[in-house]
Amino acid sequence: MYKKFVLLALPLLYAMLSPAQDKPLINSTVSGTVVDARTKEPLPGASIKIEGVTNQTVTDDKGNFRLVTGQKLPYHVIVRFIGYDTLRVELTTSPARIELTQTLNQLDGVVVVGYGTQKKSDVTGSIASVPPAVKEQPVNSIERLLQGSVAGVVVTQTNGQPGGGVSVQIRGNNSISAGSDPLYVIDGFPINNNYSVTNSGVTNGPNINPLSTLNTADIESIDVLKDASATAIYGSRGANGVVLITTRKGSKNKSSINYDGYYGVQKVIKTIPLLNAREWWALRKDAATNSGKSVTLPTVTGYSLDTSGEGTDWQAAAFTTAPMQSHSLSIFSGSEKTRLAIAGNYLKQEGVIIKTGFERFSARLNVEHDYNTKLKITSSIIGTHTKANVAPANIVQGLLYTPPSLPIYQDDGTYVKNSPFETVYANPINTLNNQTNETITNRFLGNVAGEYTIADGLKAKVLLGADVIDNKQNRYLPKSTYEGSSYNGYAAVGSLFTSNWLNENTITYDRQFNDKHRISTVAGFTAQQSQSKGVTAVSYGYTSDNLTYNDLGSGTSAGTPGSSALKWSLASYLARVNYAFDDRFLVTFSFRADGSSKFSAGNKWGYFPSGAIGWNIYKERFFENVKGINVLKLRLSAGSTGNQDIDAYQSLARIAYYPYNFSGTAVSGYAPKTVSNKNLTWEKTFQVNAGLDIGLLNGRISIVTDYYYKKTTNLLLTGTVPGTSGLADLSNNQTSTTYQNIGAISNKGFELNINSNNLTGEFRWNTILNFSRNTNKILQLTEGVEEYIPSSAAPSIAKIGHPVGSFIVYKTDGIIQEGETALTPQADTGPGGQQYKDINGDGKITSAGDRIVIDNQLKFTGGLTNSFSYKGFDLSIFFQASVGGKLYNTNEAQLELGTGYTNASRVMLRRWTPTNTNTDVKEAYQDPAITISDRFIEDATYYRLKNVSLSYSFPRSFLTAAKLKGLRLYISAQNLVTWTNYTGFDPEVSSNGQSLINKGVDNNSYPNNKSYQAGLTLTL
Amino acid sequence: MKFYYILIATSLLFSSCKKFLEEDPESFVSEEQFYETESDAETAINAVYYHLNTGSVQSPYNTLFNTGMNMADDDEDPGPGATNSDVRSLAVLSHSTSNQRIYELWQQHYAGIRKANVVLAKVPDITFTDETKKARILGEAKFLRALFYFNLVRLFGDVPLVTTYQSEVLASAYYTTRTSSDSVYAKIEADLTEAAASLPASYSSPDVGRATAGAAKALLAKVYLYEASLPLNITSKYQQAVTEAEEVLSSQDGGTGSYGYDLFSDYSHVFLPAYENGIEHVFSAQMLANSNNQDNNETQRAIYSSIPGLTGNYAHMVRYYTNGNDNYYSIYKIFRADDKRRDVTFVRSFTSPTNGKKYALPLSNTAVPNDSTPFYNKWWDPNYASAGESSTNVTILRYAEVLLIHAEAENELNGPTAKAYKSINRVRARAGLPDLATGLTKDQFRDSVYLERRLELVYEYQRWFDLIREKDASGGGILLTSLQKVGKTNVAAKHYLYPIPQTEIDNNPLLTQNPGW
Repeated sequence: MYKKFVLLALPLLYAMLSPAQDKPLINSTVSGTVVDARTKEPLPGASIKIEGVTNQTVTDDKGNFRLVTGQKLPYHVIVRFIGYDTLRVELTTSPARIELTQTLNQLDGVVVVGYGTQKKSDVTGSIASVPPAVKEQPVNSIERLLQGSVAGVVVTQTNGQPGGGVSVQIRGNNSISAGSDPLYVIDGFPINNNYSVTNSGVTNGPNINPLSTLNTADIESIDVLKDASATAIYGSRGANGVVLITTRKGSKNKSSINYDGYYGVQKVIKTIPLLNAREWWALRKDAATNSGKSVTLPTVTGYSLDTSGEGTDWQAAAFTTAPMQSHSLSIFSGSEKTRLAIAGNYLKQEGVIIKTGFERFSARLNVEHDYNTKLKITSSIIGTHTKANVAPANIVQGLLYTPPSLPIYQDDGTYVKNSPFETVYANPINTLNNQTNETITNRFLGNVAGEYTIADGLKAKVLLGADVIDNKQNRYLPKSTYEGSSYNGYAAVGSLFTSNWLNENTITYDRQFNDKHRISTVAGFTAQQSQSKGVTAVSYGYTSDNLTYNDLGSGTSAGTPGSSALKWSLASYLARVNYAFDDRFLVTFSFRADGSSKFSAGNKWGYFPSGAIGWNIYKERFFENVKGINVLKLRLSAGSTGNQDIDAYQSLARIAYYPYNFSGTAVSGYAPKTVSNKNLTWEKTFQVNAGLDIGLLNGRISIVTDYYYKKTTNLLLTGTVPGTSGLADLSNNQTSTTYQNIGAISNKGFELNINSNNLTGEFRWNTILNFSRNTNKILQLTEGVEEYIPSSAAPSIAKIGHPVGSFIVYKTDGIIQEGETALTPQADTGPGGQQYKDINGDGKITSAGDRIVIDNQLKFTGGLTNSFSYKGFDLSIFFQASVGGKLYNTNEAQLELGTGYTNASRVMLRRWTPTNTNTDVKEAYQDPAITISDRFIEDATYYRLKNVSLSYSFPRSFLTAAKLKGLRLYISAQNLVTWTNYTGFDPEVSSNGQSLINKGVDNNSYPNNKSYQAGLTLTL
Repeated sequence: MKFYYILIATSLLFSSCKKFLEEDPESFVSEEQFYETESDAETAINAVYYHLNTGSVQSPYNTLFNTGMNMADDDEDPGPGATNSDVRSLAVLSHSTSNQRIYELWQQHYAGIRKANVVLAKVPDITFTDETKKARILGEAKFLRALFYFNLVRLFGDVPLVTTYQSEVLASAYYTTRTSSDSVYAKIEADLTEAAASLPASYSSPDVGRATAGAAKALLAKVYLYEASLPLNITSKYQQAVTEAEEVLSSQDGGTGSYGYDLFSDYSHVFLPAYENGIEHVFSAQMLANSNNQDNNETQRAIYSSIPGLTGNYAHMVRYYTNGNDNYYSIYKIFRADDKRRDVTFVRSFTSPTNGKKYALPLSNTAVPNDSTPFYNKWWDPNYASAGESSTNVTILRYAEVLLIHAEAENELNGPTAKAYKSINRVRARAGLPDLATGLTKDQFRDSVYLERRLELVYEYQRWFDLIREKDASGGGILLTSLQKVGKTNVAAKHYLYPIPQTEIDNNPLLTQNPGW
């Protein structure tokens, strides 16, 4: 090495040491500018190196450079800048102007992999990055950037609550009971994304997404690891894929101040057409008559019920055009030794339902410091405060089902408390306006790392970090609300403190041997521990509503207080070797051993090996004559990963609390809730992947395709158990309370990503298309068990041979007509009742014999982004497709009950009557029990114009005059148009959040919105 | 070099990985750490009682007997608040083997049995300073296990008899066949006999409400009566029922019992928390408002939903009339107007604590002016009405029933003797009714006892069992005719037994289904 350095340095030394040389130096200094070939904008930070010598420099923030050299013009320089094609150019004069062209080839560049980065051409696994254009969408959490932008990733916003939940599945559902969301790693720190950390158990309604605590403007890149070769380095947490998030950092000798802000409005995508008061009253009368009863109006005081007019439109009263705004200020500053990124963000998003919303304050500091040539210190600190006003779980139900006859206000101007009809709903407008239902989360995520260069290519790194999440929830139901009136004011507070620490010790060794062999290795030891402590308290009976939840002691009665403690630890050894031969053959081998406290002694350790090979075919000699194809690469990988995402302590026979009372006083009772499972261990996923990367037409078109097969075995399932064991969970009727490793699931699929630079001149047009298809199948459940139905009140089933999340329902068969034999489990057996299909032909409809299983599997998902740019204008149009999925529309099932107890869908106007017999809608009837049937399973296919944005970047001339580095104005729209046949609020919904088996149910979820924003980005 | 030290130090920190990965639960104990002390044993037996009252799920004596059993009888209907299709199908007897409430009845009794079995398996090895206390705890476990099996065998017939504590993980370890009803009853008799021998006659605070010797004996009398009735029809057991009942009856009622039981002079006291665990209460499920779901959920389920200041969802409705015509049999109307029990059992209207107005059911019958459906009132707790909670205990055995057991068994054994008359008339007298007419035949007397049971014990989870076991004059059952009379035309012979839950058959290949299901 030393020898090489000497050799390289010699000409320079020679030049410096030979001032007395008789030939005078000419042009000893060369200056110039490096600009973008298309926009002519200067490129700060580009490196210019004279070919053949070590002399090099970097352009300043105006794109200017100055090279002091003894070389004589003309000579060649090599100009490099990230994201641009490297240029070798001959300099003939000074000052010189050098134009760089943006890289078109998407298969070049660098990606972040677990515990390091890699050149894309060296990658053997399946890794995808979120395209830069997508990152600029004004969304409030990171996962939403993955939606439609990365093949193989299915993102579902589970509800529209600002700051609310998002469910992400990479390459299908691997699990039934254990978690199935990917592992998120922020700047090397695997973070806790379990929704339980932001729920201390007091607030009612949708959970708040723990990732919404992070500002998307802080993100430099998002890389998604999909196959086993890429994820096995994360071992027991890799089975569901890994999302690596890198935050923005400062760079050397470069500084800027950036402001990015936008303001927007959101609206509910649509409302559900319901009956008005007059129509509802007619239906109510019909229902009573049909079931042989008479109907009268309830006696109410203080207001009158409207039975002949329009009545109250509860949806109109609650839905609003809601503003949102975000302001981010960031400062990047870099000297030779220290790089800084400092950023602050304020985001406020009000909800489309009144009095709901989400607010975030965040601050971030990234520091990189070269202590000396050997030691580099980096630190990343993110602190956030979020507050969400949460719509209570039953509020949408209230808006849809509360009879329109009820006014919002009494005659004296105070709120009507509740519906006086049979099925009680609290006045939802009163609830929204007067209750307190909030969740506040403070999150601190910080880490410090030192990297020491022991010898050339050999580095050791120690990282210490902490992720501290402090959740506080407050609830107050004043006396003036129906919910609070029976308690005389009800207050509850909850606090949950979760701290997570991580230590990582890694050694990396990168070395190139005689141009042909390149080796890159990493090995290390890591330890992580998480602890949660929670407490809740409730009291009620308040003389005044003024203090809300702030003085629990003044309530006359107290509820049972609660507290909890949870701890888990993970210790791991990891190693990876990447070897490249002649840039043609690539081999990766990785291995991780994880020890988890969640499993029983003797089963704590899991071992996760993976291997992959890549072949850069285009670098073979025989390929030189192939025209049109610039890149052709084959990737093959296989490996195993794990899943440990269950609560702690599941392997122990837990003694649980079963209280009773004697002599009028509560007493403690304890008994084992579970049996100890000495064999409890990982859920294992084995995955093979075959991929092909193709670059065409000088990199103008790049294609990445992957095919994979995954088999998950040893599923972490509570499984089924005979009730006679006494072990069945009382609230979840068929399952055991003990986790076991049983069952198997397979996923196989195909992914395609095409990036095409259709036009590359002044007017540029780029298209990115991604497509993915996944087929999921349950292969095995508890031995001897064919199917598993978690609840009789929901349509979900897990059945061998069917995908996770399928439905089990009765099959409707028209309407019972005069003279027909009624086949129905419902009370209405006369003409006009709902007729069902007698599947087993026994002449009656029973849940045991006449329900059918309907698969719920996406056929494919896709995304299509077209970006156009001309001069300073950029237009991006992003379509997203989700095809073949199904939803069980619980809202509609309730709205078509036709009892007259609650409001009904406008579909009920087509109901069966003796004079309207040719219809598919049953008659009104007072039978308030829903029969779960195929009628309410709807096609949830949708095509969506997800994002349109138009921006204008001001030209250099203007910026110079205005003393700015950059100014960009933009307008954008989210969810602008949705094409779907789904009749509910929106087809992108999952009322059961991240749960897999119960997915595909739309039950009173906070409706999704569409939004419009205008914003600007300013760089000083 | 400093860096190496840091590296070595941090690695050392975790070199004892084994300890690092040990599970150290802080908010609960594991089974290995439990069942060591007297107080562990005491909390272990309390956990068995939990299954009598928990409202965190519908448990047998807290709503489930109502939604999973009462609905099917001829005294109760699902109200507008009952929106569960399992409940509504049960109410018209169109329920299938997959009915959820039936599965819950099955499974929750076995959950209680498991907790009793763990006490019987673990407590004998715990050292006690007071051996009578240990015997008492084991006696309580046997009493509760017997009670759970008695419910199961009455509902389902032959059921698996699990009497050991198992802690295997695999589901197949729990596969078990059904045991014949005779054998289940034999185990119940044995458990109760042993319990009666080891339980005290009474408790003082803080233990009032635990099973007593009198409760064990009274339950045994009831068990014998059931064995003698349909469907087992082992008439020789009437003698044992009489004997056992007389050992419970106090001397003023011709018995030898030393437990001091008597009737409250006022029927309403039976259901008021202020009088709980009083002289008439032989054994009750203890309910407690505002305490971990231990409150009696029935109150709010039985009252109308929109009364300002009261919480109610009106899921349980008195079977009253339909179609505007009084052509169905109504429990309310079977009561004589002068029966003091009627207005304790039912209320016609509620007064709103918020606005002072009176609320009755708006569903009025134009044919009967000012008439409206009454509400069940037995579990109403005036102290907690507004919060929808109730501390009213659910009576499982009370002295009035012991008197009626005695009257019935005596009549079956010896005809309507003076002893039989005396017992039934005690119950009637408290209700303000005259003595039963003398000179009744055995059959007439039997009918009178069953009617008295229906009136005295309505809404106390007895009627369904009585419909099953009552014999008509020819010795056949009355279930079909009684339910057809109230319009439940789906009723069939198979309904004498509940179906074995389909899920249970799916999960346990050794189980068989009841006939007709």
